[in-house]
Amino acid sequence: MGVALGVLSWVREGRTQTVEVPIRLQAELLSKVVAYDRNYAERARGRATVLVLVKASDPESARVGEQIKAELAVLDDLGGLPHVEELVRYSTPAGVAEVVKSRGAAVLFVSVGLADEMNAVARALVDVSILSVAAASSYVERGAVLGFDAESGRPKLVVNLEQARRQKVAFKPEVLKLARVVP
Amino acid sequence: MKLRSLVAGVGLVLTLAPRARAQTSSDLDALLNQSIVSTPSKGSETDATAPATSSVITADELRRYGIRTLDEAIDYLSLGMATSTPSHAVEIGARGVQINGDYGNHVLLLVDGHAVNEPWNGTAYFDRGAGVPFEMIDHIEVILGPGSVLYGAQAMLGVINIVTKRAKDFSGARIVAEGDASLAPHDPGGPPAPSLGAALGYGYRLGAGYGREFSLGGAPSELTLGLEYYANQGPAWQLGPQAYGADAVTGAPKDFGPNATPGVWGGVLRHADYLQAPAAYLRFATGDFHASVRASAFRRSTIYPESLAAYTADFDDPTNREIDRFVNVDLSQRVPLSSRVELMVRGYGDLYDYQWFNHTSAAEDCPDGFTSGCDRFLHGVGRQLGAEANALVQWPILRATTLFGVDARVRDAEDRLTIADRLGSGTLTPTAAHRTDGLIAPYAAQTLSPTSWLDLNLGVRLDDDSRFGTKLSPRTALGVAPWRGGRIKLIYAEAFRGPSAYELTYADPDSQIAAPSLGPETVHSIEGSVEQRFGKHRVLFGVFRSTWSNLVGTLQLSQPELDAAIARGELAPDTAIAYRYANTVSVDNYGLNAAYEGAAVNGRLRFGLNFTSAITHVDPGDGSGPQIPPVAPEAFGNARVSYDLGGKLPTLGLASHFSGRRLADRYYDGGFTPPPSAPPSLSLRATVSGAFPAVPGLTYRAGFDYSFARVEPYAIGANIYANANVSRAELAPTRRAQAFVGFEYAFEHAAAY
Repeated sequence: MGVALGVLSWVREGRTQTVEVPIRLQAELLSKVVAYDRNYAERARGRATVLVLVKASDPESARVGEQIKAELAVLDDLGGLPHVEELVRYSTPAGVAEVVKSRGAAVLFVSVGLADEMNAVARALVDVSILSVAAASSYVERGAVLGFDAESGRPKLVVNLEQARRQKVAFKPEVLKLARVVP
Repeated sequence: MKLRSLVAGVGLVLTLAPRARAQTSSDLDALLNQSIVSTPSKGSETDATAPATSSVITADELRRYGIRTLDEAIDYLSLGMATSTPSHAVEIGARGVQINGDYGNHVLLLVDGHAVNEPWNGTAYFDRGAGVPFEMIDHIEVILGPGSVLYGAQAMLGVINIVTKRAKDFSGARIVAEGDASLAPHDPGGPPAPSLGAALGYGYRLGAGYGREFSLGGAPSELTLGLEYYANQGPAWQLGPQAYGADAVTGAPKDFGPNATPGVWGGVLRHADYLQAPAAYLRFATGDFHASVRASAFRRSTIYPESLAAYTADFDDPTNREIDRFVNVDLSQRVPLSSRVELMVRGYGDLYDYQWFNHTSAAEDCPDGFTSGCDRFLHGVGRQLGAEANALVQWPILRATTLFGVDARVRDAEDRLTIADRLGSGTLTPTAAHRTDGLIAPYAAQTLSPTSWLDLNLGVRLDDDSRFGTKLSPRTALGVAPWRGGRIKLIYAEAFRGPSAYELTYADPDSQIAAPSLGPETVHSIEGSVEQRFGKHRVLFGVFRSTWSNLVGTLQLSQPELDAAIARGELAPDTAIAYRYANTVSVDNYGLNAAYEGAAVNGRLRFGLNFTSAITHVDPGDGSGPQIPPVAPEAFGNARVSYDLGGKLPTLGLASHFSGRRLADRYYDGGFTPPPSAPPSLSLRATVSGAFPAVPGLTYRAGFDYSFARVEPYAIGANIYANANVSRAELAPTRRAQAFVGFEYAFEHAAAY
């Protein structure tokens, strides 16, 4: 019994916020999808800044963050615009909103390891013009505007329309018809 | 950039893809229509960038084309692989190479990454015997070519990975019921045809499933469970009549049992075609811990004698049968060590047993003194325990990753062949073998993607196996994306199959001695492909060449070897001809693959085409020289189209598969005139599927298939070889027509309304 409890307590420490879609493909999808946001060009102001939010204490979060940064860096453009990526360590929800505003970011990519914080981050981003994108599709239900899921071995866009409206993201119908929209 | 420009220039000449289609919507469509695969590199990547030629069959395609088994999925929907159907279980080949009678042990079959080829003979089944509840399947990855670099033995023709659904896609409880009916071809020259009602075969499938996401100790967790039972009673087959004549021992007309006239094999077969296949699969995950358990059984009759499951057997005897049972357990834990290093540790275990029952009433089929016939019973058992650990290192430059790990396992296998007089008056001393062995196999793979258009993949695995020694399996892959939507791949890979415990130890005092010194079979393969995606459309063209060496074949003992074996007591004293397994066979194979798939009308219309043409020569190593291999088709493929009528209306699907002429298994050595072959074949399947608007949660699908082929390329009956009475071969008949209807009820979907 003791062994079982020990195992269970050890298992508790694990976390799965599965990245269903390869990070490389996520970067490529993101580079196309942003062009469907009517406010993207205005937000980017000629050069898109992508903030990659990671949880410093979580090695998996840092690993995924480093990976998306590297994958985005080799792309010629992001929605037709030059772009720059920057890793940002999570501090507080308000801190996230503040750094988004201060850097003039166009995209906030949320790495894994932030499932518990995602709801609060989403609330802090209300009325902030930013496209928040999650590496794990389950974060979309928690307030990320965009995520990537795999359905039967194929990638699928997942969009939180209500949060998109709150964050001044206006996707064109062409992309919405390709996406699964969550309440 | 010079290299890129050069490659782009060549590619533009080669490709027919529309130029400069810069529309972003097309690019997004192309990205969303890529498949995500996990098999080629043991990690998630797109099929475009994976170091392999692959096709991915989705659950949606399985539904819309009425696919009910793995072999149907392969034949109707995959690129480069095809199956054929002798009496006992389907055989699988790829790109013009099919090893007759290999029980599937040249293709590695994975279920969620766990190899299910068993440890006694490497057997895997690709029909009902695959043993995965069908509604659990999320997608099937079909990887062509050698795959030993990460998986070790068996992955010579390719790797098939059945990926099951996550709980989010399989939530709640569900039940499944399906029924089918089949009809054998009418043979106007055969025995009197039974009435339609008596001629029909029938089958049914019952299944249940459950999936749930939950939190365990704060960790996101999930569980999926599927149970399935399939049973089939085949149609009435008109077989023969094959005149045989006298039993060589008794001098009386040969006895084919109570359901045949003495001296004549054939009639209407009503009892000896059945199949039962229960299967269960459980998958559990919490945090980064994963566990799965699979259990299945595959019980089927040996319908008639042929060269695979039984050379001799009574006519229409349902006691001639095979039974396979599998249990597979897999436990794994991912451990992120740092922002650059992730560790995976895994333990696995497999239990398997095989039973073969063969009954014959003829004295000439049995050892001396068994004048009333005999019963043969072979029991094979395989068990293995294994552990694997690997580390994935992500480098900060060049988008490079390094995977290195080690796989180790210990195996225990035994078999026992018993031959008893049919009257119970005598039993030969059983031949039995038992061996425990193991392997340790370090492996490493390096990927480099220095730019967005260049991918390099280098890997190697070293198997140190106590069955045969060491074997190195390298793979090198280069991927270039020289223009928008295009990708060129060049791949070199090697793979092997170690001799199975069965091949090393099997002996029959009447006919075969053990072969403990067998070495591994090896394949070297090089291939290249050009792929173009434009929107929802994908075109692929590829060429390949493979050379195979040291394949295990059956070698007839020379007279001195025969005498020595008799002197050692390994063969009965009066044995005139006997065999042993030997690494004698080689294969040279080259050809092309082509695929096209696309969608239109907002994705409601879907279509696809796969085609493979191969030229293959097999050298049996017996001095006869290279020859076109029997059974394997030189040209084959499939085509499909479906249309979703939308709203509450159903989806209509039509799929077909075809193959060119196939030489029969006894084409060269049967002595028949003319040498037998199966003509080109075409099979069609029409399916209608959808949801019942009035009953939320209830879905249906119904289909009908028709085969224009009458036969499969396997000689059957009492005269697998020509003799004084018979000069023409009788080939295995196909099921001419089948119909099915199935229903699935998902309780959670019903409750959501």
